[in-house]
Amino acid sequence: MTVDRADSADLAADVDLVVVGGGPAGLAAAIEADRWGVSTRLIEDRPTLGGQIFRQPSPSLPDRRVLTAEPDHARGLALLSKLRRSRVQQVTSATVVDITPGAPFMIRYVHDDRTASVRARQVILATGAYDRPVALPGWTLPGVMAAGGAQAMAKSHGVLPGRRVVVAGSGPLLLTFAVQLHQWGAQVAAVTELAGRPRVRDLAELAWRGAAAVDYLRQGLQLTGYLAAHRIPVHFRTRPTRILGSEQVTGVILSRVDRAGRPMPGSARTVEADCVCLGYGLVPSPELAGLAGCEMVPDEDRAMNVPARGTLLETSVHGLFAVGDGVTVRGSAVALLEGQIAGLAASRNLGRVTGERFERRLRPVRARLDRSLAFQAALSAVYPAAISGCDLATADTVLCRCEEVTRGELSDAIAAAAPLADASVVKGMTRAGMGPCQGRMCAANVYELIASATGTAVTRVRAFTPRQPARPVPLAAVASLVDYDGGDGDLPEDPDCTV
Amino acid sequence: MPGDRVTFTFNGASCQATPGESLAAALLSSGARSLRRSGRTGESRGIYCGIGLCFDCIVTVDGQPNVRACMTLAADGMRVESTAAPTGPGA
Repeated sequence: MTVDRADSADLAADVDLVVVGGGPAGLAAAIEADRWGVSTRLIEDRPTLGGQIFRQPSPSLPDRRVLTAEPDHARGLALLSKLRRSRVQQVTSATVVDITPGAPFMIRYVHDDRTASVRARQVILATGAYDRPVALPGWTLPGVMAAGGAQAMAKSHGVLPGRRVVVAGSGPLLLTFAVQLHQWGAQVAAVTELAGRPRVRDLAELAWRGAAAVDYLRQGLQLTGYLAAHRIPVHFRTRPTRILGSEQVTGVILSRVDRAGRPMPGSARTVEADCVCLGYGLVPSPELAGLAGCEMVPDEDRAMNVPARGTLLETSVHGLFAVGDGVTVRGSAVALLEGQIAGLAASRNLGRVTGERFERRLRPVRARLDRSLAFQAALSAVYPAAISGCDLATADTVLCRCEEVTRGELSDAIAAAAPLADASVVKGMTRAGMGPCQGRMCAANVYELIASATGTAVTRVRAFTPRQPARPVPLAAVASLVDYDGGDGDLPEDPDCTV
Repeated sequence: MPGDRVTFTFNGASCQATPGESLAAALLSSGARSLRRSGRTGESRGIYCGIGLCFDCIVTVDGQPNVRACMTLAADGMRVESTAAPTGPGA
């Protein structure tokens, strides 16, 4: 075995399987593989495992009542305790920056400001999702937060995002979050839901989907009951159209919207608030799959490109799997089952489980996955498809938060470059996407502007080129990515990369 | 009881955190919402995504710039400061 210099701190690096991401999908994958005796390393970006859904409350938290009431929490605890009893190697605060396919795969990650690498025979990507960035005037002010991030911070540390909060977005998690905020002591000024009031017909359709669906509906009723009892207004078919303030949020303008999400004239009103949480659904993080060269295909909503997968959730790159919300956002129940299937399939590829034993293990998991998917499909009928992330942005609204590029500047650049405008060209002209977030906050909106200006589908817009490092890493760590002995290490070629 | 609070400074002001708390959470609960000024227009910026992706909450920790407050655990004696303007190469 040859060991490159980056490996010097990590001599026993070879494992059967690397799982990237320690949320529900990644935990389930690692635990399943461990069950079959597969040597596994689980690599997680955050300091703690559990991902965003199973985020564990800090032990110093004064009141855990709200959290322990969530079924997800109990499930998360059970998985983490299984993991603790397993032989899975767990590396936290470690950011995977590159995956080179091959036999074995080479996975490079940054840990404690140093690069480490590990060679693995199989890889499972479980990179999770994040809140859809919705650019509207005022969205860069302190006090505007992504709902998922605000919820995570409240969950793990009991820290409220503001004193008087507007919760704006779409989907079932909004109500949970609003109730949590109130129980934690925040004043909830308003909840605005993009969708119309759920129709009885859709809810009835949901109720047919078994016990999970009935639980879900019961929970929904409890939440709406709670909000009504505490006089917290829930406005359906309403959106914030402008966030007010100069140094931080002081208020928000809410408007009624039509079915397409367009504000209706004359319906605007101002609500005082020091915090706005935006929760317009989640978008997957498939960057590493792109970097590893997986074939990418448009997702169900034709909103972005995600790795193509086979029935065992394998990508087009042999030995590389992609699971959970990092591919398609369907929540933790689906993520758990997908993780388990990929963990099992990787174990089979490694020869640890074969034939009838494999099939017997797979069958019930697959059946549960099918039921969960049917439930998710029924649920999505209640909520509309994702809105545009930049339809409310005015010419001077920043779309690229890092480089402070406005919608107007982007539109001008696209017009000047048309018909050759693609994301890389526009990036070169405006710097949008060059900052440390590496386009995560602006890419979808840049693609959307290009698509509408050039009359193409969003998924056909040539995207920002995926390059390693997939996340910004310290300069010292980049230096250690280089194999000075002339191996396969490369300095990142992209001058944009933030180091 | 010693060890159940950590103390750090933000732009010289003393802040408290509980062990295991991120800098972002500790700053938010100390009322520090504006963490820095943006490089190009000097707008006030704070915590946005909260999960390590957006890099809006970057601060300088013990002299090291561009550290994500939301991904860094608060530690006793940390000196945290607003990161002066530019955040990336060539900015």
